[in-house]
Amino acid sequence: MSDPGRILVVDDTAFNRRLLVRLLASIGHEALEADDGAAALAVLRDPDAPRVDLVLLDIVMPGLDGYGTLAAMKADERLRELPVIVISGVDELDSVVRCIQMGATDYLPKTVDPSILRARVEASLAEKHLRDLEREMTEQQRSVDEVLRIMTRSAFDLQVVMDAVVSAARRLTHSDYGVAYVAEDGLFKVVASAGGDPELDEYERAHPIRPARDSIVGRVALTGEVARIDDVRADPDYVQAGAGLAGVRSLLGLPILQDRDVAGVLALTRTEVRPFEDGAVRLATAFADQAAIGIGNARLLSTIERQRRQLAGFLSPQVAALISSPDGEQLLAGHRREITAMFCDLRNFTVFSETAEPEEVLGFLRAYHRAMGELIMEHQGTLEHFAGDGFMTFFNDPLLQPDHAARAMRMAVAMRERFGEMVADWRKRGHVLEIGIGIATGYATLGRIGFEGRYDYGAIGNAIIMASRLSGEAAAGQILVAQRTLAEGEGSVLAEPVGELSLKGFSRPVAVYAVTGLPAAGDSASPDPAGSVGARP
Amino acid sequence: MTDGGTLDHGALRYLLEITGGDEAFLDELLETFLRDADDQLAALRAAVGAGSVEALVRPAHSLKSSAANVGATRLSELSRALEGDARAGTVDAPSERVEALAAEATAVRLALQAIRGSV
Repeated sequence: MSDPGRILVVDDTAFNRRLLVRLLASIGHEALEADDGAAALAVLRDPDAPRVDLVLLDIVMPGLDGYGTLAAMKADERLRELPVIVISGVDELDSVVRCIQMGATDYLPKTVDPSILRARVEASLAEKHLRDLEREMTEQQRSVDEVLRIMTRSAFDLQVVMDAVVSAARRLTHSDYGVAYVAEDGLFKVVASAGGDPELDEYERAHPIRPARDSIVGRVALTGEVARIDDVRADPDYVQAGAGLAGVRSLLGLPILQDRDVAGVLALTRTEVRPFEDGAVRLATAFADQAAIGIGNARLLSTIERQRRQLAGFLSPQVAALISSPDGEQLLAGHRREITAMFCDLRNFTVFSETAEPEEVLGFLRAYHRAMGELIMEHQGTLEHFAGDGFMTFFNDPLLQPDHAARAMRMAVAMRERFGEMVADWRKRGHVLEIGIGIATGYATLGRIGFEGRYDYGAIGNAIIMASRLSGEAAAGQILVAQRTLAEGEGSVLAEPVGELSLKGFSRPVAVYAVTGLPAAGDSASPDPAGSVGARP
Repeated sequence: MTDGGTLDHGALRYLLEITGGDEAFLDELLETFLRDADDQLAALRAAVGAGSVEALVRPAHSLKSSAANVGATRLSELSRALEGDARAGTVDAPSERVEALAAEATAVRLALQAIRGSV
């Protein structure tokens, strides 16, 4: 025998109805009765009436007859799929054909034969069961796909993921209300809900749940396992609180686990006593697992964000951003690019550090680093390192800056100015501290330099060496730049030729210029008529 | 079969058998049949009174099948003939035809009461 079905018998003759109801009951089915088509449609369309699985339909009836009833069912989207077996006399085969053309599933002779009745009814029920199952599976697959799609698209948006999980789990388990909670300082707080009215949602949000046996969420939090309550009124530990607002009767709670910790709970409720079936538990578990991935992703994201903030304190912001960027690994692995490098160190620092108190030296260095650091940030340079009184910065990597040469030179002018203001006090005390800057442009190899455990983001190339040599050659307060830098940064600063210098490590003398200042507003693009070189070296 | 087809005892035995031998239910079912038959006869007489041949079809049709199920063979046959003529649109002496049905229905009632005292 197939599963018990609920069958509506539609016949105007009480005798036929009574006989069919009795026979259906004897083979385990529940039968409802209607004495004409209109009454049948009323039962089928009543949202509060139990769901009907099959209709046995008489053709000749007063009022709305079998044909009319069938036509109305086929025109109604919710009733179209419901199987109909037409009851007919043996001399009415024409009517049977017409009904089958209209969509009836089968027919039964009026002269009742229990074995034929049974066979036809059970075949129709089995077919409907299969169809229902297929529809349910399709719906499940569709919902799981939908959640997966959302997970892929918005992997790091916990709210979007949780909303999708809760609403799909509620729908597929035929629950009335679904809520997802996330653990925070030992309490479980609502992050998403579906199917509740605003009053219930508000109550749940205002009342975080602690691990305890008096609620489904608390019970899952306590044990880390799936919890089921078939009927809250028969559960001695359950205390009706917020749940009372919704008239909840059957509940299901599933842990959202992160490494065995209960990071959250997915709770589903039904307002009638309808215990959660094993299939519903399996389905909901799959969604709780998705929620776990969502929470894991969100935690990962916040860890990365925190690390980036912490790293930014140690590294130049560009390098910190690079490390957590999608193409960071590739850039770190090493690449070649044209950059402008700038070396800066102090004249007379050794004398100063020997004569001043160590605390004074440290205090001075801190102020110096802060002032120069601010300018580097402002001009978006990549600071490679600070070493005592010197530091190296470069431009155009990892952040691309087409005006890298101009940026470096403008920053140098700003540094010289700022340094002048800074040391005014020290000069009064007899310390003659001066800044010396060298700038050069050229191709360099950039990337991770160092060894496992201690890496720097560094640059290697002639331009770096030349910048370093020029900074060494620079007199107090001088900014020396290579010809190529001045050419690339055409018009951004005023400069004058210094001549050709022989630099250590360079086989031929190098044409060098000294930056004198910034052009006055309006003449930045034209050569200085006074003879100093503004645009073209 | 008795009384020239008024009541087929075999049909009653079959009804009893398929309803699990429940005598009380059978009596209830037969009473339902007799009430239905009264309703159909009233509808047939109303159709005759209204002069509507078409209105004879449905009650004759209903009486035909329930009569067959309780073994009222002749009543079922008379109903079938009336239904067929009414569908074809030509019923000669409709009043006499309906009264003949009513007389047969009374015979069925008596026959049922004779074998099943409680009906």
